Amino acid sequence: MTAPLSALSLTLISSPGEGQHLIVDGLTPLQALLDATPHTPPLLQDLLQLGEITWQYRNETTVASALSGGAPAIPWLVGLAAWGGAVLLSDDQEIPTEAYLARKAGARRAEGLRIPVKRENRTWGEAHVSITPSDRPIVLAVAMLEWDGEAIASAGLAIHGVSKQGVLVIPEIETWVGASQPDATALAEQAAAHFAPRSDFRASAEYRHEMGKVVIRRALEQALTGEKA
Amino acid sequence: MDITLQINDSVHDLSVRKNQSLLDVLRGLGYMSVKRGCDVGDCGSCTVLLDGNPVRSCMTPAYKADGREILTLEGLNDGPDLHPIQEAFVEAGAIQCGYCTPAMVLTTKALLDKNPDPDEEEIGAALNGVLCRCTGYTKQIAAVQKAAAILRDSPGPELAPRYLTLPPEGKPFEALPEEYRRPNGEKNPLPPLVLTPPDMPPTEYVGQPQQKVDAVKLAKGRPVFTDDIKLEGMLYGALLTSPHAHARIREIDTRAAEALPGVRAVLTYKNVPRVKYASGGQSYPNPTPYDQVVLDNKVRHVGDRVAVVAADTLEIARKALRLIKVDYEILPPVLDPVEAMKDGAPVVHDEDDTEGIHDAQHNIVHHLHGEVGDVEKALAEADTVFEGEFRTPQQQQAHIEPHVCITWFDEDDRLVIRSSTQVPFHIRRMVAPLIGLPVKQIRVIKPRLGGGFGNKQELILEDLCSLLTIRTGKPVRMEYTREQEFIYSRSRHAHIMRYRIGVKGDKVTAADLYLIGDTGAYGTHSLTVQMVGGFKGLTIYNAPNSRFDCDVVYTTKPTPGAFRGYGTMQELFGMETLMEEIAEQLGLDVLEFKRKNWLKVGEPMYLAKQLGEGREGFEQTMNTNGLERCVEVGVKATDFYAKREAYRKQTGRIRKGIGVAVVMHGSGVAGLDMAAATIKMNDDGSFNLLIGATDIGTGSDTILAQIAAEALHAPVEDFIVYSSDTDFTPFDTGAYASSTTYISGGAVRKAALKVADQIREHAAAMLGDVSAETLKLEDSRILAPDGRSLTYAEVALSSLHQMNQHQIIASASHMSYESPPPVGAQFVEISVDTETGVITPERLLMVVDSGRIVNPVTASGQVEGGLSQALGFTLSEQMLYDEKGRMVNARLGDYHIYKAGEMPPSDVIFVQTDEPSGPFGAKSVAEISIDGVAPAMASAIHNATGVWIHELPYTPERVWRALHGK
Repeated sequence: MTAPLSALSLTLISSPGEGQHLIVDGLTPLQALLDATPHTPPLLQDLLQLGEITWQYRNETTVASALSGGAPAIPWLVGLAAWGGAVLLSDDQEIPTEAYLARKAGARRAEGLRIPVKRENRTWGEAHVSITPSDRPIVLAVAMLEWDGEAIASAGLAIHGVSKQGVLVIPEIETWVGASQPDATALAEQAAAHFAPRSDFRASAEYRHEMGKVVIRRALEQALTGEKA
Repeated sequence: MDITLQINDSVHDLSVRKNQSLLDVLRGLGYMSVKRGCDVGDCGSCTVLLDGNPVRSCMTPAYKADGREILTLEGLNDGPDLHPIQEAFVEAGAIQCGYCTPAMVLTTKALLDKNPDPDEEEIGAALNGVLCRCTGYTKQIAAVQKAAAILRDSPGPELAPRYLTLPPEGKPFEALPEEYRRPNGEKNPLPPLVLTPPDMPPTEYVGQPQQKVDAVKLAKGRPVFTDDIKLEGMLYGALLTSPHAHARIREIDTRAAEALPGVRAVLTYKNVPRVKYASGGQSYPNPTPYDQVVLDNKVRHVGDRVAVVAADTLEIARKALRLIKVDYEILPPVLDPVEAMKDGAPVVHDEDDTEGIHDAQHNIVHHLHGEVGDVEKALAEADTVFEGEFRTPQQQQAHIEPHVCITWFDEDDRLVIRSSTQVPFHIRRMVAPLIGLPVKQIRVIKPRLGGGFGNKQELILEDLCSLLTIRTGKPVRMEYTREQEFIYSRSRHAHIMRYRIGVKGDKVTAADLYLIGDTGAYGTHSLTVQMVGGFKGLTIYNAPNSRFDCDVVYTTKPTPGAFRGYGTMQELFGMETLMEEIAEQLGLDVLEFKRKNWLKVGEPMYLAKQLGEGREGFEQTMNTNGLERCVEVGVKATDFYAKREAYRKQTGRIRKGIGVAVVMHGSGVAGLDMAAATIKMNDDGSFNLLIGATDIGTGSDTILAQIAAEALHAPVEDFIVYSSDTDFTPFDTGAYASSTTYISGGAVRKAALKVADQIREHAAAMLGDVSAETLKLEDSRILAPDGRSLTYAEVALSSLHQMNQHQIIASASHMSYESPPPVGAQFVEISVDTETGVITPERLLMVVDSGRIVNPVTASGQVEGGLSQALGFTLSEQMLYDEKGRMVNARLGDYHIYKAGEMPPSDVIFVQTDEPSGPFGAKSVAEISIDGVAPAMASAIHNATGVWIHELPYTPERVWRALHGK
């Protein structure tokens, strides 16, 4: 399912020092990102097929409307936040995905996305718990590590299902930058300090709290051991 | 706004509202293949292709399709031939009710246009956006593979059933084909395997994988469902439901609603007759309690009926609902059946005109008791007494076609009710007193049904819709929203069951079951479901000392009713799980222990007489039982013992498990279910087969035609099947209780044999000098011993036009005082994530004895669909409420039924037996498939983790808590 970028309303740009990015118009359907192999990062492609996201949903839903908080898109938004995607705003500014989702853009509209493309020095991990594979995840975490040789140069970690925010970014991941022997279990415990889960019909707050730690640890472990691509 | 839609090959210029959905526009234009299932984007049955890409038309504003190409199923082909994708769906048996078929076919087209050779995972992912509640998706995935192969001009997967002969009884079966073992964990769909005893006589049409008689029209998306017609001047009905779980209506003011232009009628408890009834579509006299009225001045659950409006448009009707002012006196809810029985609990039915409540003050609708032998003595004398309490959830049928009904007066001023019902004859009888018309003034038509599973065995909309037509004199259409399906249709009774089992040596000598059945706000089906639960739950091991006690309890929640496998599946979960626990504690092999105790051929069913279905039953004895062979085959197909042993030794985070359960069901309700059939011969030697039986997607029209074909020695294609219409087809109790193959099939066989006799008699007269008894029927011909022959067409023309003129026609009725049990062995393979509690089903296998299998494709489709519903019951599905009694997951997305990409491989093997009381040896198949997954899952979880879990569903949190002692 590969198509030329131009046919998908996508643009590939290169910035000195920042590498290649995919510029995505806000009116682009999510399906275009899946069809944009090999430029869309595999992590984000996987997340566009996870949980409640169906082919129909991807065809109907634009990037801008997904950013407005459609529940099925949450796994992808978690991935976008961890991966370092930025939301392009109507005043030509941009803000991190998680900031936009936290409504920090004010009245400015989302007009597009800037997504770092697949990079050879990045690894990632994703873990989630759901009642069935295509149900909405109870908790879901995504971790991204960018490597400079054997050292972590930058990192992202985001989670869903443990707070009232749809996407919660865990700032402690920054402590991994430059760390020699990062400990996923320890970071998961630290991350739990940010959790304030609420019970719903899918799971209790207690379960969400415990699973939040589990999925963070698993996502980090995957990212640490994952192949760089 | 003005838009131009290019739909298939037509261009439509039209004006639409900004919020008007493409679904509404397409159906308004007559593209009836586009189905409405939920209106909120959860089910995908409204999928169309927009510029070649699948989209849900309910979620797509019509204006967004302006200038774009829309493909509906009507546009896939315009000739008599099927498109290769439709052809593959028909051939694979991927169409049951057919309601989701247009969406499935279009999604398949979009997939194959992009990816001509998808694997199972890619197919599952593509079909994930379209829910199917009938099939379990196995045959749909096979159909996509087949379609891809046809389009690539390659052979594709083998879809035809495989047939093998079993060795004589007592000899091991060694010839299991390797693929049915899935030695390398393959996930490809497998065709059903049919195993036949060596001494079973062959049949000609029965037993063949006959294409469904309705498959082509369903594959083409023809307008065959209730809502696929639009009558001139039709009004739209809408229902106002209660926001409170328990309240009295002090006052209701409808003046503003009535004054709204376009409103034609508003009905409340004030202006409809108060006639007590029970809504379950069951035989006369309907089981008590008669605790419902059409509209009441009290509401007993969130979603209960308050008022109904008919208006020129649905929008006006809904607007009118918002204008109705209701003054409620809010009463305390009671949501837990145990709490509801306590002194001082809110009384759900405090009215003085309800008949048949056992103890209204304690909300106990029925107290049931049945006992054989001396249970207390046997328990006292047992070596060990084992106990267990088990809980099962309230599950919703979630058929994709909602309840829908259209009523009108015909040219003779008779009321016509076109309804999505499983029980047209019961509806006619039951609705008559509620609307004040005699039965003879009412005609009920059942078109094709988009699934039912018991939920359409209820009087749900027909009374309201009829009253609106009577009040206005106009046709009226009413359809449930998906939310109303959850909160005001029916569901499966939640059960709390407490078993005590006494064992001496390795024999079960006593069984004691106390059951609490939560019947919600009304008692429909509450007697029969629970009685069946007691009977089936205790009869599979048939202890000589058995006792059943049950309290059926009102709560202020939506009312359960009939749902495939009712009673049986709940109680078998408890019984089967406890039996394995007993075997474990006694150090016995579980299958050996069960084998020692399960009901065997020739044994009487001790509780059959005491626990009939809502009334005293009849003595029953098991005639045929292939369970031993089912277990043997299943053990081999799963390598059960080797895996079982290996999995016990696991210590890792992800652990595998394999589980087993044995199950037993029934075939119709003994001494109660009755069916009739009429067969009429036409000029060309073809036949009309008129049946009251209702094909709700099961394929019953097809298998009944096969039974007629077998008896008349004519091809199935020569039978024009019509079901069902109370004016034109003979009586049938309806599609429930696994009765259609056994009871309706019996009627069809009898009618066909009568017609065969008439054909012989007329042929004998035509031939002269030959007795009818000597004539043989074969391939639509009559063969005389001297070599002369006549065709059926010659006999038909002669009888209608030339000699001794008469219509060759016969009707026959059938009922049975037996209900022969199908039996089966259910195997489940899983992995358990012990850290999170997530269970991943990896394989389901059911080996089932349903007597002679009339049609292996439709029968295996029934089993696969049942497995899928059972998997939901076991792992994910439950109706959940907040403290005020509001259902919190009342949409398909949140409730979550299994999707195509989630289903594990689901394999079906039939072990045939020749049931002497069944038509050509058949027993039932529709319900047994739902009975075994839950206990087999409990068994598998225990195998993987060593933990028993007694409450369903096995959500990740529930399993996690059990594993971690939380």
